[in-house]
Amino acid sequence: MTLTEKKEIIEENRKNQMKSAIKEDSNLLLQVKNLKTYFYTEEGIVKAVDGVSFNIFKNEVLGLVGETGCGKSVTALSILRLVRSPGEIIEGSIEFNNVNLLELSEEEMRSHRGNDITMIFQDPLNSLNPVILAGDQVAEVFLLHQEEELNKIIDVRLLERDKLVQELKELKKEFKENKEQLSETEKEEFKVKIKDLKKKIPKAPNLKDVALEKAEQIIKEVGIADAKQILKRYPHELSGGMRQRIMIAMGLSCTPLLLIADEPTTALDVTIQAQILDLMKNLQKKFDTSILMITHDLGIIAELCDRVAVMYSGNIVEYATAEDLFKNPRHPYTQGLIGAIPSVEKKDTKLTVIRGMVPNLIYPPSGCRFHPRCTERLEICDKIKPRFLEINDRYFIACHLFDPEYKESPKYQWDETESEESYKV
Amino acid sequence: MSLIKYIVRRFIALLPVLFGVLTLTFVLSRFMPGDPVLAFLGDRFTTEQYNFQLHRLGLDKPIIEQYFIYLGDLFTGQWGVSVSINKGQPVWDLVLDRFTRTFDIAIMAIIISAIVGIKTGIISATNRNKPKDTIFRGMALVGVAIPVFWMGMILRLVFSYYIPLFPGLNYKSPGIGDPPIITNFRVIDSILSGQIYLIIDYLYHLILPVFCLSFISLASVVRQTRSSMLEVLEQDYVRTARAKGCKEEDVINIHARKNAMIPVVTVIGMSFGGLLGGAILTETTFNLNGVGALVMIAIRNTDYWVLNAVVFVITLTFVMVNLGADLIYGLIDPRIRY
Repeated sequence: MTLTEKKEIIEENRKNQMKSAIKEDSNLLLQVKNLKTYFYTEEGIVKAVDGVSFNIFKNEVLGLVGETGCGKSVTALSILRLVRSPGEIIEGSIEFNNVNLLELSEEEMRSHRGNDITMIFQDPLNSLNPVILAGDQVAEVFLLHQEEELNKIIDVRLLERDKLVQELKELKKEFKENKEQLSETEKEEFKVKIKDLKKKIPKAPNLKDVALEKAEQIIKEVGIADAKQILKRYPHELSGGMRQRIMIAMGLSCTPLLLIADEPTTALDVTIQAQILDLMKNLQKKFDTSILMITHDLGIIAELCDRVAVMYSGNIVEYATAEDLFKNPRHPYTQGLIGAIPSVEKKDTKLTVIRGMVPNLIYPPSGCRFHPRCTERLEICDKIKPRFLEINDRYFIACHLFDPEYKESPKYQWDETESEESYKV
Repeated sequence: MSLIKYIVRRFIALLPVLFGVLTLTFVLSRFMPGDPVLAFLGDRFTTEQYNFQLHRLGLDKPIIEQYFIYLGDLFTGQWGVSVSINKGQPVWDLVLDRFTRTFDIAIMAIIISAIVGIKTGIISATNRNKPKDTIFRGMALVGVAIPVFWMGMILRLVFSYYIPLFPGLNYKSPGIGDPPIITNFRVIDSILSGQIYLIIDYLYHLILPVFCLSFISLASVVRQTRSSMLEVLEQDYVRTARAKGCKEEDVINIHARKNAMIPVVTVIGMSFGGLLGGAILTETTFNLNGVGALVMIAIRNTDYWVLNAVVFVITLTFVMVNLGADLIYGLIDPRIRY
């Protein structure tokens, strides 16, 4: 192969890459790059999210799985910039529709929250304000983000109302002018007419009433039949499933582009879980919304998600389409997670256990953060942090096992006593 | 409907409390050294006069019988006549006249400390550990540490003597009259009689005492508001409100404040008792001629009737204010059902 040929091939490749990049870009909704969110506590710096990168396309459901405390929720809150002190986003970029959210002013960010990026939380009882009516809480979203639309509705109604009022005036005038010439029965007829017309005239619409009407519509949309009644209930008067539906209604009221669902079914019982998941699935199609589904339930991921990012200790360790990931998990941690799902078919086999505990995020393990618990550990693993590599089309992994550079690294020999101890911890 | 039932139930539950308080005051007052008959008769009297008065006041009866007569009289409204101050004036009139003044400054102080305290507490909470917060908390601490009477004297010295802005003594300017007595509350009576200038004069005289008194409960209201606000701001529903895109001020005023108010209402209700006690001191410092002076004279002269009546009225007021606080919970928190 000559040099020019080589160059041509490289050029060709680059062009192809550019093409695919452009194609993807037009479809790209959210791109998180190297996000780092640290909490500055008195005990030390908690690196809750330590260099996370992922993206979400339009109409896509991305699952974010991981154990408790691996930084899933903090990632979600970082996207909305709702991380509270002592937490702080210290690095990275979050591009939403090609706008870096981290560079927006607080006021600009506020217009995104609840509008085109919304969030559903884990515990619907605590996530709804106990002293405000459910209807008012949903209506608030419309009042915050759709005042113009509401005003338009009001204008239309006022016009209609004015017409009726005008009609009434004319009728009255006619009645007065012709009073003397009319017979008793005709007079009665007139009076009835005027009365009917009066009844027809609605009271002047105000912003809150219109918002409540819209709230009623969206509550109906999430599968609550007697929406009108629910509007006037307090959260504690609703069942768990209803509350989560109200939360979803709130999340979808402004037809968001991205809905972040932070373990939306954890606090619910199994039958309600299934209903809520079905609902989310249907609504996702109906509203053309992308969803970032945060969960530790792999079952939900399998059912709902197009792609999955597996998070471990503040990093994404594996990131692939759901199909690939479940069929052929590559990262030892993912393998462990999937191995730990009880199965009806594998009745007599023991479930896999991932040894040890979730690491302390103040003093995370060196190198690959999973190395103290990893069965496939290489000698290199505790020394060098693995790169986040694309080993296949859209298949990312952060593991030395799949990094061609460390192919030669010998396997680490587990000291028996050490592993015993790590079990005990 | 259930609200009325609840109030009735609370009133029934109030009886044992009143009963206990009355018994205690009866016992304590009888342990006081001194003799009301002597106080009534003064220095010169004959044995016959003494015995006659002893019989007239019912003090020659066995103590148990006296106790039941006392209870019966209190509940049927026959509170007797005073033996020490304005001899022969019905105790009811006396206490009502004096108590309304004490009540006025106590109620004004509680309203002011509630409004100012809640506002300050919220500012403190939203500026947690910033200079504003530190200053407010420090002031609250100082306020609670200073004894009322001392503070009263200093206020008089500074704002009435050195800088003569406010009157330091009495509840009305010299030469100013009284409205005709209808309800005994000076403000209401003045309105009813149409003499508005009386109200202005009265309130002007109350500025320093009320300011002095409100410091007692202000501190506890600020601290309670701050801590309960901080707790509420960590709640999930506040995060939801932020995620909805609420402005920070709306997050605090709409979503957090109502939830944070429940423990604050309790504190305000409870501190009213302390306020009444403080009011007695304040009103003595400012010579407002309230119930405090009355109690002092009654104790010095072993005037059982006046003393018991005052304790009765104060107990009743305290219990009613707390009932009011309980009813306010229901307005704030829909989860509370009566």
